[in-house]
Amino acid sequence: MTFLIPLALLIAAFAVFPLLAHALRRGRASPHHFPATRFVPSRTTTARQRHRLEDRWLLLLRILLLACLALLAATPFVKCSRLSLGRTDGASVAAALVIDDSASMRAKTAGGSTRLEAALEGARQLLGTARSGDSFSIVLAGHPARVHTSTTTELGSVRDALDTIRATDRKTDIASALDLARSLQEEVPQSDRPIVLLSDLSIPEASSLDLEGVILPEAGLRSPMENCALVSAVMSPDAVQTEITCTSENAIKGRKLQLFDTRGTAIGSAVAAQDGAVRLPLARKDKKAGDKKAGAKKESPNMDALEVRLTTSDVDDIEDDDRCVVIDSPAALSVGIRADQGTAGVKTGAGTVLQAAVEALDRGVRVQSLSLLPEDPRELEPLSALLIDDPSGFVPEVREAVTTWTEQGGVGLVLLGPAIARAPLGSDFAPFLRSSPSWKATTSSGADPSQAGALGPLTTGWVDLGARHRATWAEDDAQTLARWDDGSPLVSERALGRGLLLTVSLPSSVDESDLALRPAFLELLDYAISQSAIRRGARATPVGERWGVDPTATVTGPDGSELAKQPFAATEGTSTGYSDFVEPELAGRYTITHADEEATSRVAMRDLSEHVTQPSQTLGSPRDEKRAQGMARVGISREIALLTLVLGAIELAFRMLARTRRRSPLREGIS
Amino acid sequence: MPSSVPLRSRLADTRRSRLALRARELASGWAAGSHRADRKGSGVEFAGHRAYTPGDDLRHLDRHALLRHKQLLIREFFTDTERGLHLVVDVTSSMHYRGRDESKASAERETKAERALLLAAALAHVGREAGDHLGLSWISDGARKTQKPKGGAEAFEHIMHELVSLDQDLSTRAPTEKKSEQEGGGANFEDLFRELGSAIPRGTIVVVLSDLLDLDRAQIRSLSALCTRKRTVRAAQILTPEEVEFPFDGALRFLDLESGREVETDGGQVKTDYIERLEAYTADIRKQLLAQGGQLIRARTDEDPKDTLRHLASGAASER
Repeated sequence: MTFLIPLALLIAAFAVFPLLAHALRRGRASPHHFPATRFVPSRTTTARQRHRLEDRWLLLLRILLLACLALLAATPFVKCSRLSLGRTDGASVAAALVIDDSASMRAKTAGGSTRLEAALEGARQLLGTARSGDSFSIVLAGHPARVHTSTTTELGSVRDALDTIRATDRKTDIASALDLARSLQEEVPQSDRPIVLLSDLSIPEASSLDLEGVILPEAGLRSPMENCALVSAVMSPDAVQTEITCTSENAIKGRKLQLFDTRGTAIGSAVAAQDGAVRLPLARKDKKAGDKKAGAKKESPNMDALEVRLTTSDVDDIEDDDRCVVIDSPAALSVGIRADQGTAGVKTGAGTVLQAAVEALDRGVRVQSLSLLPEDPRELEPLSALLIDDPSGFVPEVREAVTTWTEQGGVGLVLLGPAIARAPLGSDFAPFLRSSPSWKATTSSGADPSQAGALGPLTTGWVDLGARHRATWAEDDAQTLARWDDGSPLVSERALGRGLLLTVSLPSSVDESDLALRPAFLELLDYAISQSAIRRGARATPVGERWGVDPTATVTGPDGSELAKQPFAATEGTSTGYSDFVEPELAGRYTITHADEEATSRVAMRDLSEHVTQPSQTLGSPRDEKRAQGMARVGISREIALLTLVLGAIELAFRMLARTRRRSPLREGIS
Repeated sequence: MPSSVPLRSRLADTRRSRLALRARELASGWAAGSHRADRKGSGVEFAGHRAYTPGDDLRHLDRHALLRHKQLLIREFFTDTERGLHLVVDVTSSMHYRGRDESKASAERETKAERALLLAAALAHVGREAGDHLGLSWISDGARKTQKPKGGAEAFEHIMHELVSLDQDLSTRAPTEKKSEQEGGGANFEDLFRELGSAIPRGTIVVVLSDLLDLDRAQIRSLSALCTRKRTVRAAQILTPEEVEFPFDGALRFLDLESGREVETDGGQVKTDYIERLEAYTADIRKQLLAQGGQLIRARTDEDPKDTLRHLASGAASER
């Protein structure tokens, strides 16, 4: 508790006066003259006890009254969970409320509500302290950032607008939301223009956010979470490849994966879940059914309706991300392969080992051989996956193009080989690796299955690779999917934007090792292509990505509700070919029904980082800390004034009651 | 009244006339003849026969009885006769208690002493109308005075003057004066009753107007001893409603008006005990008086004084 005028607390010293007064009068009742006193029995103990009791209550009441008066004069403030709109100069305020409605805000807080509910409650508390003349705007920080309510002084409509905000599976886009809020604030007439960010800051780049002048109340949003999320599930001929991401081992412990059909019947056996990729094999008849479905899917888009579910757990803070629709292998995936025919060619035929391996997968993907790595992102645009064998490094233009393409959902796989020793000046292996690799001789025979990561038992085929040399690099934050038996990374994986980058420490050349000759190599390629289908496939896009639709089409979401179509801006409309768009904000399958009754389905996918990134506790740029603390300080003078009134009334009633009870006719009777 | 007369004197006259008026009004309806004397003699109401003894008036010889029974029988009649009426008024400190009467203004409340003086004055009127000899004793804290029963208007006027003087004295007293009197010494009822026992003549009716709250056993015995020599004692215990009902509650500290005794108590808890004690004390006095042919009645200050007067006057009449 803090005070505006602490010196006023000295008033409490006056409590000594009631103490003195009570001490003086406490002993005996006032005398009453009475002629028949000789017949009155003495009850000294009872009388004094009652008197003492009444005295104590009165004394307590009076001391409390004085203490309340002292508190009232000192103008107290308490720090509490309720937020209040602080004013720098007492004038009206134009506040921009930036509310994070991303998927991470679905996590539960210590209070049992979700982070989004806590953020909305905080916003309502701020609105509750607003005065006439204050204006508010609401910007939502789920990708893409958008203005939910333009600046208005109609507090009722702002309150109503808060009630319409729902939890989504969007990824976080705080930077854009803050930019939007700042642009809104430039137009308001008020001089006091706070921007209040209500977010858990569960983003990897939180430290690089520009929070200058932004008020960031804690509001119970940034407590760590335990969670596992099903990021994707892709159908392959005999299995469903799922990707699970978890905050810790504890979150996945004891949980299983199950496959269900549209009717909710389990059609796949449950397998133990683990952090990373999990292969959920299909039973033979299920496989057939799956094939049948896959085949029929071309005729009817509704056939692909399988769902993978993660069994529940007590430590799971987000329950909505424990199920995921299975998307089928995309038919029109295009895989770019850059490999040297001379070093990585197939001895027995044309083409390279990589080409042969991809064709052996029989996934119907279109293979495109690249003579050079593109330096323009637009050249990579048609590709969903990029396989690079034994590169000598990437020049800056290539790095830039690959980075942009990956961030948009591309999946890259690079197999490092002896060419890294001939890396030209100015080239490196970013974005696959943050450090420069080296090509060295190795005594290690192959992979260690016990240290296998997401690839798991598949790496048993790589126990003896027969490699004499291998690429090595310094380990960083990339996830290692398989390791050499001496602990060095064999296969590593790094998420970048919506995409994924895989690095293998051996080339595909059979002259260098037996890597490409083992089945696990095909599994690795299958994994990469599946991921590309998920991340960049035509039918699966991240949540929040706009889908162009015909004005006559209707789009039904995974919860059965129809999505509202919005018109494209003029420039956007010409580039997409559609006049309207919908913005899916929940992960799952959407059905688009066209005017001719033909229905197609699309899938909105979750962003991996939203479900496992912990709230950031340290922020790089300075923010309005003082005001943020002030928002949690609430004046309690009104409550104390009410308490003082109540105490005064009780004291008065007490005195009247005591007076009535003690009233003696004797004093009045003496003439 | 001329304006030169001092205000105090005018107030005193007003008060005197008020007491006298109230007493006369109260006593109206009570006349001589309505009271039968205890002596038989030459009255008009037949009282019975007795055997003739030499010296009897032959006019009362019953000739019819002589012829019928051949015995000499004398006819007797009740006679209306003067009899002494002695009033004993208690104006000690305890009689200054006014009690609480919420229905009246404070100035209109009557103390027990004022009620006693009013009853005494009314009884004096009744006695004068009956032609009785009238006497008066009063007792206060540390002082007392006795006027032996005498007949005639002069005795009545003297008694009325004494009563009015006491009434005036009550009205001019302040609480502090009462306290100083308290400290000066208590009333000695025992001495008064002994003095009356030897001073007032045989057959006198003694009317005691007091709260009788501070009598010890010796004083009660001396009061009942007044009943000797054909005297009758009629005691009126004048109490306020508060003294009878004890309507107090909560923590209280009582101070006795005469002894200065202090008692701390809880009103609600001791009410029953108090009433039992008071009634037991009163019953003891009543029992002792009854044993000697006396009578005790209770007179509350909130009751109509006529009722008390009726009880006292009828009781007195029945004794004649």
